[in-house]
Amino acid sequence: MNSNDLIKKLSDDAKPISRLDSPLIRCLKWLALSIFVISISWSLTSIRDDIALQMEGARFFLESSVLLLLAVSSSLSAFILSIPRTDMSRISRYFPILPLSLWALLVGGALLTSSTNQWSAGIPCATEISILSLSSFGIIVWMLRKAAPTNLVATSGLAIMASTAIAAFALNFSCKNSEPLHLFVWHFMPAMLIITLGSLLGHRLFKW
Amino acid sequence: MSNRSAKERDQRWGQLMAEAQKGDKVAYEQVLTEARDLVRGFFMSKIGDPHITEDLLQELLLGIHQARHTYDTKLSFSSWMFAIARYKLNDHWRRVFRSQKYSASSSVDRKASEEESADTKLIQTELMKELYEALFSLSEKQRRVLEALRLEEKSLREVSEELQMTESAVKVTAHRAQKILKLKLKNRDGTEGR
Repeated sequence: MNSNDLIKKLSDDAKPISRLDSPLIRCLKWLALSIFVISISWSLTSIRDDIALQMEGARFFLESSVLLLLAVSSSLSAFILSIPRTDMSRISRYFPILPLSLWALLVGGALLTSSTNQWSAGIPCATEISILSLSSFGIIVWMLRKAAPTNLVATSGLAIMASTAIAAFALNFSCKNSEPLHLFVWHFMPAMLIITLGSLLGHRLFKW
Repeated sequence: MSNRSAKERDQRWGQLMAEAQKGDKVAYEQVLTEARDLVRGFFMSKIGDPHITEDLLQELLLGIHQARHTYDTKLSFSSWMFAIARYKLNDHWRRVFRSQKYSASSSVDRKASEEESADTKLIQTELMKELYEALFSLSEKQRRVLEALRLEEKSLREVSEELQMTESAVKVTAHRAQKILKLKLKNRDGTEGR
């Protein structure tokens, strides 16, 4: 078959199709679905007892806001990248740099300034962040595969970053331990590990 | 092409694609054909092989078809299409790189087989050259009979009609010509062997 025959075949096959929603709409849909998953998780693990007290503190509020911002900016970037284009996609992949740096600064800053860094086990936290990020990642992968990403590694990296950020956001509300060392070892480090591993899956997940 | 005409063309393609999304077959065929013709040059400049270019163009057309629901008329059609073209090109290079990587372990064998095949080709070329030299040393009639019978695979009757000879005369001429040829080639081998 040559390209002329293929063009004939494809144009004969042309049926009315519905256009894909804009990246912002798809990002909001993903956020709504992820919050639904998180609410199920919260109902199973229960929200921390001192949540009212924590919400009064600036650090908790700032950290949660940064994580939510990281989730939204990463998912928006991933959805923009999932549409073949060359103009916006170049800039959009850098959206999450600021919130990611802020999160690292908050966790690192607290760790360095704290005088009472005590080791505490946190396997349940690492397990929870892994399960939540994988659930959320499943949703975003399903949504991204409906589009046509052309930069597979970046799309995958941003998608897993969004999923991990929303999982870390959820964990902030359920984990009772606010020790900087605990947050660094059992929240931040597993998140970075998941992001690194997830980024490697780009070609397997999104090739079309 | 000037920037203005390129912009106009891009807008026209955008409109055609929007019509294609509504199911307009004619608009779709037109945009695919024009897009293919534009990207052919881009692929040729990167690949240089017309066969691979044709394969990549077909992949691009399938890609456009598969991703046509992602095209937003607010976007530039060329930008959208070239993003797919680059993706297909990168995918091609990845495949090429991977196949080279996998075959790297057997590169020594491949090199040996390439050398062997080059030797065989050279021998065949030399043989053909000698055969033609011997053939041209025959008389005009003998050469023509052999060519017609052996190379053009004509029947005895056809050759006899063409050369205005009897069939038995064609047979005898061919037999003699073959004998001379054999002798000449044998003598050449004998000379080289000394």
